[in-house]
Amino acid sequence: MEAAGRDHTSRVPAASDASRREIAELRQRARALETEIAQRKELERALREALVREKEARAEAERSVRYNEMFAGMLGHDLRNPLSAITTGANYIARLDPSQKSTKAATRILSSAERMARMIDQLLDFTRIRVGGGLALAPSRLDLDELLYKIKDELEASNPERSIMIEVVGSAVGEWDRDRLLQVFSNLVGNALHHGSEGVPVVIRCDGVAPDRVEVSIHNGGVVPAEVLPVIFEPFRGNTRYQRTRGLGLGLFITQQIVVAHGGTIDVASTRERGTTFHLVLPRGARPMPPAIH
Amino acid sequence: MSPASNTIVVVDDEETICETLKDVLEEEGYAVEIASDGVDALALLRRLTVAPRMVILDLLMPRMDGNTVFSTMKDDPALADIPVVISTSDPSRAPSGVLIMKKPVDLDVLLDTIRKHG
Repeated sequence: MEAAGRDHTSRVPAASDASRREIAELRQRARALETEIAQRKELERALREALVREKEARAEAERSVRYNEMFAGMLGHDLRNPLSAITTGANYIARLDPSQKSTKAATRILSSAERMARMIDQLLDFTRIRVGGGLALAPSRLDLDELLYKIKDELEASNPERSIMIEVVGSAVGEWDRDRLLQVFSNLVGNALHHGSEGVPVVIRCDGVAPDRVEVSIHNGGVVPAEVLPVIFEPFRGNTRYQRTRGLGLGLFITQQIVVAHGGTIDVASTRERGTTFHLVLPRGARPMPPAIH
Repeated sequence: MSPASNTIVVVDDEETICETLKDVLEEEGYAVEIASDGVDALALLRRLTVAPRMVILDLLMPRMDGNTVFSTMKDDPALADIPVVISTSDPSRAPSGVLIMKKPVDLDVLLDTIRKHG
């Protein structure tokens, strides 16, 4: 009996231990579940917050697009239209009597208004590139040769003391956006004249020997400062020493974007010994690359 | 309406452009009528007893834009034959197959265009 009683007493604590262990395990699981539930709740909360933030960000992005459209509209119409009126008025005064002093003043107004119009065009292009999804191209059959000579004639007329030489080998025909390439080469050749030295001609070499592309280089005797070279295609470089023009510092950025939009490349090399050369490669193909998006 | 008119209709919401073009064109011997938006332009064109020699038409204007004026004119047999020059700073917005004069208007180009196409 004693033994049985001992057995009995010894079994009871054993069963109780097991129950206690079970209870402890259950409690532990309950705690783990509670923790998991709390974690999930926290996750859900974070998810809800993230959704709200995403919704806000999307609304903000949509607002930005709307502001951008308003800004582009403002530049395209509201600013250009009164400027157009200034130009037409100055043009009228300039025609009245060429011997009058007022003609000189009108010519200066015209020149400033034209510079302002160019800056507005650049800001509009910058907006299209950075926020508006890129530059739209209208490619058509074009002879670069003809385009380069037109630029040479225009720039030599406005810079009679300077000379521009053009060398063409092979065929310079391709499918490109005429107005945009006019913008590219006017900018590059204009820069080459502006930053070159008076006695040294600007040399344009147009190499159309390859069947799939035309390569153009524009060379002058000037030198680009070493610190400017790595950032020369960056927008808004107006405060650098090299940028002596009174523009916005967007010309080369837009130039590069037009070349890229045509599926081409542009680079620059500059040393004191060899001068500065901008080198462009333009595929002849009609299908432009998708617009560059930043 | 007879096509022998010497009248040029200038349609632009920028008053100073209208006034300057009026001065220039009147000096060259033309009569000038001005409208400051598309609605006024169509009303003016329908009021004229003799068809104008040419319409110089801005695109972006309040109330009715230049594209709508142009298409309404083309759909109206009484107005369809009047020569139109679109004067705009953004030629990509102009309807296809129309004469375009980029703003700011070069006065020599304007006078030459009227002589050739008006």
